[in-house]
Amino acid sequence: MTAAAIATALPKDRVQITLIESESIGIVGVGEATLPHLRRFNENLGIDEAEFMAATSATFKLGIEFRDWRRPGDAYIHPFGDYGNPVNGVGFHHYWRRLAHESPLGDISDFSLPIVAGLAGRFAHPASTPDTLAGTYGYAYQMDATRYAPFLRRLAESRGVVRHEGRVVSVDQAPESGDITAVTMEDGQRHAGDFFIDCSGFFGLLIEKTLGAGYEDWRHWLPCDRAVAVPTTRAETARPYTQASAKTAGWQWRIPLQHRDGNGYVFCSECLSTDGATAALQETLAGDPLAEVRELRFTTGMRKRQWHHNCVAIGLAGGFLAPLESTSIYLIQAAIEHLITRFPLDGDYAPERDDFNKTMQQEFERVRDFLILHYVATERTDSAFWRHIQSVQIPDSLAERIALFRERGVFDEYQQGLFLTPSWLAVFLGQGILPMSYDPRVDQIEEAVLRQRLLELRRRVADHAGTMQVHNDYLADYCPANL
Amino acid sequence: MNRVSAQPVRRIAILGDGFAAWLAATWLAQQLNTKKTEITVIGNSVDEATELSFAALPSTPDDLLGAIGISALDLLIQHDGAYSLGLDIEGQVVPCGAVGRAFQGAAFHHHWRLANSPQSYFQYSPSYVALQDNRFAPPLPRNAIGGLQHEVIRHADPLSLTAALRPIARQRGVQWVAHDAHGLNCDASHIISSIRCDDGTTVACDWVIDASGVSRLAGADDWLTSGDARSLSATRDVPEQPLRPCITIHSDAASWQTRIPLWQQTITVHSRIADSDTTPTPGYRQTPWIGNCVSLGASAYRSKVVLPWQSLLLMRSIRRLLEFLPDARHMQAVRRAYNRQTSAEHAELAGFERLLECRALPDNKRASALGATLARRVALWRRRGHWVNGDDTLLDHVHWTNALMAFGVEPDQHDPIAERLAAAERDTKMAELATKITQIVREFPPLSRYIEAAHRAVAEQRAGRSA
Repeated sequence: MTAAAIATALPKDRVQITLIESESIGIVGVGEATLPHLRRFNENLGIDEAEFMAATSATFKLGIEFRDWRRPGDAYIHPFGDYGNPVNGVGFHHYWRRLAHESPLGDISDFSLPIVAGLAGRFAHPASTPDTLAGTYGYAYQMDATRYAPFLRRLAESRGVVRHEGRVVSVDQAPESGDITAVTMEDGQRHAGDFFIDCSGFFGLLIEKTLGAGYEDWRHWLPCDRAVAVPTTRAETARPYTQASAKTAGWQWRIPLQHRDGNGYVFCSECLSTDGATAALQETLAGDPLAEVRELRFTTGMRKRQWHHNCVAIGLAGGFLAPLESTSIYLIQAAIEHLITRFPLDGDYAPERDDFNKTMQQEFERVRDFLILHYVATERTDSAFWRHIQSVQIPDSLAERIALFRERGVFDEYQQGLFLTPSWLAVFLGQGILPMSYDPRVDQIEEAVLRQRLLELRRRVADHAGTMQVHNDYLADYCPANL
Repeated sequence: MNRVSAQPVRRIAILGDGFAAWLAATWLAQQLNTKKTEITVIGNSVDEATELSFAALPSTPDDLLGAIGISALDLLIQHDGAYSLGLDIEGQVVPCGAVGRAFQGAAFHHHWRLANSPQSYFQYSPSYVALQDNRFAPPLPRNAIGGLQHEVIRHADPLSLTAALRPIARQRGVQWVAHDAHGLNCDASHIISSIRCDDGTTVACDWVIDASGVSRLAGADDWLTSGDARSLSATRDVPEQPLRPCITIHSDAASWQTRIPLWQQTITVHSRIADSDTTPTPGYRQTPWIGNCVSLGASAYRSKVVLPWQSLLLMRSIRRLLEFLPDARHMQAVRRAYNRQTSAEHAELAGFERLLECRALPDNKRASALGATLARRVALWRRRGHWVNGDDTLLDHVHWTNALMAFGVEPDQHDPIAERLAAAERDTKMAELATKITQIVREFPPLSRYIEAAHRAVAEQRAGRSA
């Protein structure tokens, strides 16, 4: 992603990019679920959507379904879109909150087009008019990440990136500054550079092993530290949403692609062994395994200095949070975009570096808080893992957000970073955090009139979802996988 | 489903009798059901100079006057209105609105720098070009150039506006105790239960909005001073001819003067260093909401130099008040959030004032005068033309970058992304843009003629109606 994006954004005569990678190390490849931001990334690269989806066997994604999180048997969807529409500047949920206890209107999900369409297995590209119902949602992709990487590699090479295959065996640093000057490959080739981007994964070959940038461990907030993953055959039609089901020692994902499903169990190794997790995963697989179960080990947290000396860490080398909300690829994209706008112009890049590090820390912290919310807003105490979660002291920033929503149903909004108001609202309500009061402006509307309007909206949402094409048919028409 | 368990505030007392107080009262009365929520304004005096500092009103989506029903035409005809297209600070003009257009994903200033254009940067600003000839037209799609639309600041007489707001508010159910407040009944946790007025009456309340000016009736001493004590005074003079669509700011060692042209008068607000213990210092409240009392307007922010964004700050604070209107029993978290967001905006505007003060200093001295956070942002701008906005943005990047460019704080280098556009194509696009701006602005009438025509049209319409 980084090589393709920089090669596209910056002029060739300014920057010569060398990509060093080893086929033998391979791609983690479990980052299969994405967020709607990836569409902008692909558009900036000039990628044709249908071509990309066919190449990566992708499906559309309207949200993420969380099963058994609040309590076993409970489920909700975090949609990529709004519930209803604001009226007179007041968020829809205030209107819903006023009436919800007085005259059953159904779940707030019934007022979200992406949720209703997703559950019905339907999809259509959103309209470009955000003030119409058909324009109230976005979408992302569920894709085969092992195919996305070579797709981007070809693109990057076509834009001037020079690729070298092999393992790095040593790193040279300038004796005085400590900056990296070159890397040497196992075949003896030496590649010098002015600036290095470390996308070497958890290992952090340059940023940590060479430069010792340090790592901020967040396991006390996000205790899951391992995952077992396995692809399976498709057992049912591809749902236009990802599933994340809470389990006794973590949670399990299921990501439908066109040609297979991705499955995995993310767990806390202090509460469950890898064998136990593997057995639990295998028990619940809907399709037949297509490969051996793989284990991944990680430490949730972030690199203390994402840009250190003349090296920037991107991807897992920069940090890793629970893959619960499909944020891994987003954080890669964010780092790339923040780097491009601050790309070093010469050797004196302290202002750019400091601003990049501050911005990325904010990105990571905001995602972290959002993820922690899923774990702590629960009634589950049915296992050691969930009892441990109950004792977690959450960050002050998250405690404030929860208190503010509980008190008044409002948000301490931010402009920068991931997960804006609709996402927080979805998880708050989905996990049972309800405001004690609603916006008093809602009282301007007579109750009977308000009820009628909401019922009408619910009907329109259902009707519109019914007009959308069946997701599988849409995929077959638009972007059948190149298998 | 849990029932809603809250007790919304039912009695709101607003201290003050000026623009801030009546704007808040009118807006709250429009948005709330006044049969359920009692709103009482308590006050009978204003400081004229403080009031006149609200004479410049940026046109933004946060505008409350339009939402209340006071249109741009109302401001022009009924409240001695005029317009400006920028600020003239000691001869350095900061135009309103964007300059140029982004090409190939890079902001215009990068292309301008890369092109080493013979045209000055602001020749690509429709506001700047119009201002040079005292021309004016409202920002309408028909005079936009591609996505480049100029912006304006509306001017009006705040005392006249306040007089217009009072009956609107009262019609919507707002009570008015036409006496000043002289005391509060308040418990140890700063919860005010009633206001004592100087006629001996007492007004009970759940929530208080202090818009009484420099009042310190309630709350802790959390005023963050941004300079020496300053006295504020104002004069009203005959209008200058020709009418210039521009707010003019002058400064010397001891004072700032802001001149805001209206149609029939020019308002000048003087802010002079005063050697007195009783003179208020410029600055702002770090916790504008304490207990159940929120400070607004000059009670919350007092500037060294009068700028249009004081009105914007006031309007955004009032909007936020309504959004965060609390429960009578639970207002801890909303209070903290309001204070976080509002004090960040206070700090931002104070930072802009500091930038004005130190605009002529060399980089290193400017950096120490600006403070660490703002200095870091300016340093990154200076280095490569990248402006970092925060989360709470009273001012957007255009306000900041226009000011920096006007003060000669230009980026040392351009963003390399701009190089993706071939030089010949860039030069053609820039030349076309400059030509188009000149053509469009040439169609704008002089500001005086525009306002005369508006008055004439309204008069003819009225005459037609009465006939």
